[in-house]
Amino acid sequence: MIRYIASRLGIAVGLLLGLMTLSFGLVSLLPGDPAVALLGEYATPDDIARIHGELGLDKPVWDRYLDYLGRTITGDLGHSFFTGTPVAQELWTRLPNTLVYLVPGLVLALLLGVAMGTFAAYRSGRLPDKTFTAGVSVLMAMPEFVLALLLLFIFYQQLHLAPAPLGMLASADIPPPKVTGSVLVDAVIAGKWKILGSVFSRAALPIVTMGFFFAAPFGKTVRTGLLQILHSPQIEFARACGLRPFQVYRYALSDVRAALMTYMVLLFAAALSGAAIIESVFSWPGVGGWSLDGVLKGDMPVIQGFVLVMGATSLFGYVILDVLITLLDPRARGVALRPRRRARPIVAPTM
Amino acid sequence: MTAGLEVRGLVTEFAARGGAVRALHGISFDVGETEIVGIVGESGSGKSTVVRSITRLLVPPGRVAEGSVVFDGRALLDLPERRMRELRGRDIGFVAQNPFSALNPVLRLEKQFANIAKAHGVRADAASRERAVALLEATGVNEPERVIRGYAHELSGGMAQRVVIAMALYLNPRLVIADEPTTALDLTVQRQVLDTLRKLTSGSGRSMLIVTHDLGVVAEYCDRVLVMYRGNLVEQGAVSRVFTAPEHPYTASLLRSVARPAESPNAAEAARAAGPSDRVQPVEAAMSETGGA
Repeated sequence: MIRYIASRLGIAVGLLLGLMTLSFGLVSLLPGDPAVALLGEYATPDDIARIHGELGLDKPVWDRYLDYLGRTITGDLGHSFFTGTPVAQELWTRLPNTLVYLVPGLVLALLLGVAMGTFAAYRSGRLPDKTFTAGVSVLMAMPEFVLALLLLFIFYQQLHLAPAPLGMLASADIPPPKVTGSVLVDAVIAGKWKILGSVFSRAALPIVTMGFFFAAPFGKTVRTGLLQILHSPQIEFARACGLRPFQVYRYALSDVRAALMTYMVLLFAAALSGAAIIESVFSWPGVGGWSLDGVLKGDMPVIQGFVLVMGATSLFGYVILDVLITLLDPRARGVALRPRRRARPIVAPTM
Repeated sequence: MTAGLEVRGLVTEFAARGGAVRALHGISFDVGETEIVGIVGESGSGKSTVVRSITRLLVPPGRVAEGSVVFDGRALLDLPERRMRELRGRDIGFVAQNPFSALNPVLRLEKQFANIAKAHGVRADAASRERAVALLEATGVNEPERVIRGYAHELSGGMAQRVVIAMALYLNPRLVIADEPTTALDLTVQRQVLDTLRKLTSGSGRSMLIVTHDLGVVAEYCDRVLVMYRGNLVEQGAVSRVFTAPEHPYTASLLRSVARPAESPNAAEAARAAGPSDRVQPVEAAMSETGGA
């Protein structure tokens, strides 16, 4: 088992290296000179040469590549061209802000999706199912920000239930003492639960937006998967053995499980790279808005850092997914584990 | 017939665009105690629909439109679904056609046995597990203790079908319904599984309704036979009578279509020599001819 996980991790590390190369290539392959972007169009050749020297752009590509790899591996992602703050630090303070609404949002989406998909599958062809299908089509056709604005209109403007979409903290909130730089982590460290509560009350609408937006694909997966399995000989036999409806449902759901987990990881990656939209609407100080800013300004280290972190997070997600699916399905488990066990004597000396 | 199964005027329909399509046109038959009754007929004749109508396992758009099914004095079609569920598995066992698609692929077999026990209010403990192991042994599973700890995909087809039989018999049902229980198996294994099934059903005071398209199986294992054709029960009677003196022309053509004429109930001898499914091919070939008539 450990060997299997290690092999997955090994592949992930390889892919990560490829990712780093890609993110390095962004600078070298994309048109435009970072020095010009940094200094503006009226920079003197001397200034440009100086910046080239500072950024190491005067060295050969190969040297710069190795340099970049070395720095990245030690956790140095460079400094923003414009603000001068270290990209790594910026990421560490901002990533928790994004995850605080993204993860609950996806969990909400999963719960909503499973509930709606199940309901639709069990009432297939009847009114609840038709309502569901129509609802999913609407949700899928609606861009994320429209949904966000709609929710804001209802809950902020009309009902006054939600706070203004002006970021993570109210102006009256006193930020916790700085330890890590991330407001959330610091609040936990300082035990400032009020601030945490304030953050979550502000995160409510982003979470609901994500929940509804991503509930549609989850719901569709569940409905399709359940409809198929509910008509399968496996479920017929389970019913013929007199299993209770809930037991039958659990049998059926275990068939949909793998597809759901795959969707979870895919949507996590999609949501992370699409975080800019929600964060713009809610003025949320997460990685999304920051990276969008970087892209618009041509702030290369920021773009590189963002690409790298998104990629690494997705890769990590896929490793976990792979391992979980293999662990949960005895058939896949057998295939994944047995040949390895037999191969041990051959592999051992090289390890 | 008092204690067994009594089916009267069963009409099953499948809702379709522009009205319902009838799959069964009023079927009536009985299965007496310790009796083994076979249902034969070509594909699409409604054999499986009969079984699903009786056990109420039809999925929409299928539904029983008319008729009555009385089992053990209870009118099954009038029972609330909750009571019907309690009956399934406990009073009526069901042997599925393909064991690999019937068993849960991700649960250990012992867990699946335990779930059946729990569903019927039986404690899933060491004693109930022991009964499952004993039953597996009785159905001829090698190393039942090891098998029950494993998964379905680790078994051969014959072994998996024995596990399915053991699950169907787990709570000691009085009626066993088998839907083409050997179609998915090798020829050599078919016979062993059928022998096991007979030993554990009518040999143990149970009755059995067995769906098959294999006349050899009927000849050897059944007391009575129901012949179905296009949703109708065209003929029923003791196997010896139906096989020697068929009354309905379809039955006659069905019997003629068998390569080695099964003109006597002693077809068992021939079947034993040839293996039951030798006969399948010619039967079905002839069926498609008669189907057009």
